[in-house]
Amino acid sequence: MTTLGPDMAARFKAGDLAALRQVVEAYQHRLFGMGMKLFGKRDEAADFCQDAFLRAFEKRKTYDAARPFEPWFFKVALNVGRAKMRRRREIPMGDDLPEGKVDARGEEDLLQEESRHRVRQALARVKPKYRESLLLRFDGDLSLKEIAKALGISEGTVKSRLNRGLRAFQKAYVREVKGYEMCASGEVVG
Amino acid sequence: MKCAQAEKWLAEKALGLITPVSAAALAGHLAECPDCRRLAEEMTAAAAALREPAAAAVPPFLADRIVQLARERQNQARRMHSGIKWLTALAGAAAVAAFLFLVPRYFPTPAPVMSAEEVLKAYSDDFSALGWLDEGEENMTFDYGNYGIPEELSQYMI
Repeated sequence: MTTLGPDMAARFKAGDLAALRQVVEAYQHRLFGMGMKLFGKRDEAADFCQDAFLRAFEKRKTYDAARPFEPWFFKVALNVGRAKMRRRREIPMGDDLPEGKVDARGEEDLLQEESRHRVRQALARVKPKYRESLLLRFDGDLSLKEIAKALGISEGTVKSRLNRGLRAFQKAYVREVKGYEMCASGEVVG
Repeated sequence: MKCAQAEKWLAEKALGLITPVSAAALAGHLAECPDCRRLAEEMTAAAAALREPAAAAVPPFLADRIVQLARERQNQARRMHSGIKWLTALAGAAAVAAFLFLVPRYFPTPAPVMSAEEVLKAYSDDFSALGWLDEGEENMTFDYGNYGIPEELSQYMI
């Protein structure tokens, strides 16, 4: 997994646009993955990425270049994600699997998309504090220590949140899968 | 071992955080407990689903767009900073001009105060310049007594 060297982090802090590009290229895949799991739509995930990188660039003076970049960066990104989620709750969103597009896709793509839809639905049922820890672990690929720094909590609390979060996710995910299987077999209509 | 403890360890295992001792104890429990074996399968599947990368690829040119927006914001901030500097300078100049204009109006300079000797000396110089003094009078010391004015009154006169 790509990480940012101290020199590049210092250049980023100084406002160097070439360093910003390096930061975007290093973290865009991880952040986009988080965005897709949080928002489910490609354009919303891209907006989330854009807002997170620009916010980090605006707030670069608050970054201590002597410390690791990831915890600071993902903390900024999480704050952007939380604000976006709050705004999203205020605006009713439609189904993220429009039927017009489903017809045009291949069957394999459709099944994969449905699987990811179930992950998003299950994640949405997990408490936000657990969800954030899971996203930082699975998508951000951060260590316990880095997650602790990003969230401003102890490593023990991170471990506990990850454990409870994964168990909550597993239960919600199983319900999603069973619901899907019942729908597919025609046991439940609608 | 109770199944509740096994569930915690299953989550730790899926997260890659389980210790070797706990892993060994968990394996022993799973060998005997079919419910926990089913839970282990579900936990593994859930963690795998979470690890699955995003379906859609990152939009191309995302980095270009972000850098372009950052550049525009930097330029905008520079222009604003420059504008603020000019406005500050203009406001400073206006304040100085107002001060210089208003202070003499509201706080006029007091008229110079001259002592009696200075006034008399000035008269003497003027009379001398006009040629009104006779020869030798330039160096005379003025005295009201010469004009019949007593000293107790002359102290109130210039």
